[in-house]
Amino acid sequence: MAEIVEKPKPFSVTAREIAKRFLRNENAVLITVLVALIAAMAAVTKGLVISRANVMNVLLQSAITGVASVGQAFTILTAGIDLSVAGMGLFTSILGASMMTGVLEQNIVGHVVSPYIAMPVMVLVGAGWGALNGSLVSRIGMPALIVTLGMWQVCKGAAFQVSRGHYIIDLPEGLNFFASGRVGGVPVLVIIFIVVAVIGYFVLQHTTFGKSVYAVGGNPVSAWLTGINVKNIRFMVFTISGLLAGLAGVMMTARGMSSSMQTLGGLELNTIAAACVGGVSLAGGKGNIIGVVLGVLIMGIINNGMSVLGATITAQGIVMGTVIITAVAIDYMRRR
Amino acid sequence: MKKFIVPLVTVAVVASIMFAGCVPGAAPPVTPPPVTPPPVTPPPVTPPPVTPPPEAPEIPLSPSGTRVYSSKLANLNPFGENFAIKPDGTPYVFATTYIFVTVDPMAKWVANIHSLLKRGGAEYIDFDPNGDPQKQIAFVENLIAVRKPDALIMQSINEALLAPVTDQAAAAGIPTIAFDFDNYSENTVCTVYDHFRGDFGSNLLGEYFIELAERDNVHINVFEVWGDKSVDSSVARHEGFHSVVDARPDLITVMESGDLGWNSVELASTYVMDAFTAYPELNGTFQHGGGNAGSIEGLRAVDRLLPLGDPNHVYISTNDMDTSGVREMDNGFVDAFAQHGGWYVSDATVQVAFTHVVLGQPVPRYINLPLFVVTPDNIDTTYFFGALAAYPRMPLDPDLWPVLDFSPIGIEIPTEDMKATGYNPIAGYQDPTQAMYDAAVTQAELP
Repeated sequence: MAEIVEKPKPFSVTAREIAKRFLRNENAVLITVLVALIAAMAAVTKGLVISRANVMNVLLQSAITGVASVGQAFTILTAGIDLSVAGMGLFTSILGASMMTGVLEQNIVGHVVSPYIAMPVMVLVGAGWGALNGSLVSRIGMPALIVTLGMWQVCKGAAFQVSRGHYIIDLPEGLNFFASGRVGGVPVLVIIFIVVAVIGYFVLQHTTFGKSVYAVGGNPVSAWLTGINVKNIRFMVFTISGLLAGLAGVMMTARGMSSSMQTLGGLELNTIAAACVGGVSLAGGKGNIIGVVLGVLIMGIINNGMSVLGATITAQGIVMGTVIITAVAIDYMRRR
Repeated sequence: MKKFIVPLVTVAVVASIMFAGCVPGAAPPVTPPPVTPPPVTPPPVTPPPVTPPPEAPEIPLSPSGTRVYSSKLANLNPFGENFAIKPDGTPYVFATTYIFVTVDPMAKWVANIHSLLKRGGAEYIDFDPNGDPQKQIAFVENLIAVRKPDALIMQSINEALLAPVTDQAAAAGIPTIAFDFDNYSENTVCTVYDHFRGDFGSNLLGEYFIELAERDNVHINVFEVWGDKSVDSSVARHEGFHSVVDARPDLITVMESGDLGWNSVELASTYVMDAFTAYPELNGTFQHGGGNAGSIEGLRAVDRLLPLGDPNHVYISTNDMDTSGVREMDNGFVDAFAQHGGWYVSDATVQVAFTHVVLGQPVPRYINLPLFVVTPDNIDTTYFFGALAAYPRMPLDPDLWPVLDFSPIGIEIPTEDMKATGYNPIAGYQDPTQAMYDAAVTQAELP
């Protein structure tokens, strides 16, 4: 009986398999892209971008977008979208600042409210706006795109009614801890981002609710047939998005020690872009929070690197647009 | 899998190419003007209320046919080519950032700042955040961490939001000179502005409308074209105008438009066309700023752009008139505009920056330049003081604009001689609005 001798695989086949496995792991690809970007930036700027101070800058500049992006990821994972994050964040920022300001003619409660009371209120108000979005999407069945687009304008208008378009300044010094405070050398805002990302990851990967989010995004009919309350899941993800937009409003108010109608402008597109770059599928059901964090960091590195290089705003727009389109194109090609 | 690899590689290649291509290019070449040593001819200290321009024979025509004031040309390149060079031979580096350059006046004065910096031998790092305060904050943070310029010249998009990062810059040894808009940071070295705490001249325009209504014995129904309700300065312009005209409902009535997003020419045109078609009784416009060419074109489209003196003339006014609007004032269609930020603001800003950073001299916390209401009656006078935001009549190209002589108002042009002697050119600073321009232009009460 002839002995069966397994032929050794040619090297090229093995390499192809490794490449396949590597490419199948989205986070590995994102980490590679991130490292390549950092290396490229470091080479072009002669190491300037990898200085400790600049790395902290990138993290700090990414923290607020990052927190809101985690919330955005929840909605996108259910095949929804939340265009109102900037509006909700703006309103909570204006509202909170109007409660805390020492300029009494701008203070809507007539006296200075402690940041430790105002901040939870801001987050809860954000959650309230999100719940309103969630109700309209899940109970009435309206398209998320339209609901959140409208809510964005409602929030903006409501914020104008509170601020009358003026800057709100003279906020309590205690708020400054969240802006410039550091714990172990790490800015507080960055720590908040890390905590939010860890909780978001845990909820999505290790809870029934998280599994349900993926199921609803992947196929809502199948999810419903398996007993998942699709309406409740949709309601919850918009509420989470609103809550984190409110938290982003708190963070931005602290960072600027003020609030105005310009606060958090463009946040909605930045969060969607970060989620897409991070591998969250706009069709729902695919993606994870690690990817979102990497997406936020990739965008942060690109913005920071180009700023350090002195790139014009138009060049930044071209690069960022190219990255986002490419990320979405990859997602679509994978699904075909 | 091949389908997947190709786009991925494409991303990497495109990103690499883009980054490589994003290194700032060389600044536009500055044509060195002829070095003309001082003496500096100071402008008249107290001109009469409406000073006629100098006699025609003394004013040569530029190639474009506009007038050139030779007394100003004498000041070309007063800094000297190596004024802003450190003892080690390297140039001083200034970072510049502003709101945006998508409106005509701002594009011009940013170009003037860059031109003047280069003319003094300095280099600059430039960033246009295109109206996004978060990007402007990030730019300053990156300057502190990486590029560490000698100073920051900043038009704050948001005077409050930019304050904390200005404090950080000061702590890192980067002084901030603000222009046009203040910065609420106590560490701002100097703010060069024109009446920014008030109404940007919109109150003056309101007063001018009342004057016109009384003069012509008409009730003016003004169509107010908003800039952007989310921008503090737009709200200030609205409130400034209404603080005056609302007191005279017998003469002025105001109807408001929607937002332009600050500077949309198309929307301005649309709003004006719609409003003047639906409400033919409208006979005035007041616009907050950018995109004002659209209002004029909107009036033209509905046959309401009529010359001054016509019985159906529409009274046209705006803040921050752009080039086409100034030409329409020359053509006899436009009544007034409030001059917000002019040639002199950028000029004084660079002089202050050089004084503080290169000469190491203290400068006042505020330099408060006058704000003009430009009308057909005084446009020549205000031009003489470099007041036109849109510069359609400026005699030379941006790289050759003459440097203004601020010595009558306490800011002498920092020269190489001053650098050598340590002379403080701003020691005798006085509020310029009290000295030079009061009689020549309409003035608001300053804060």
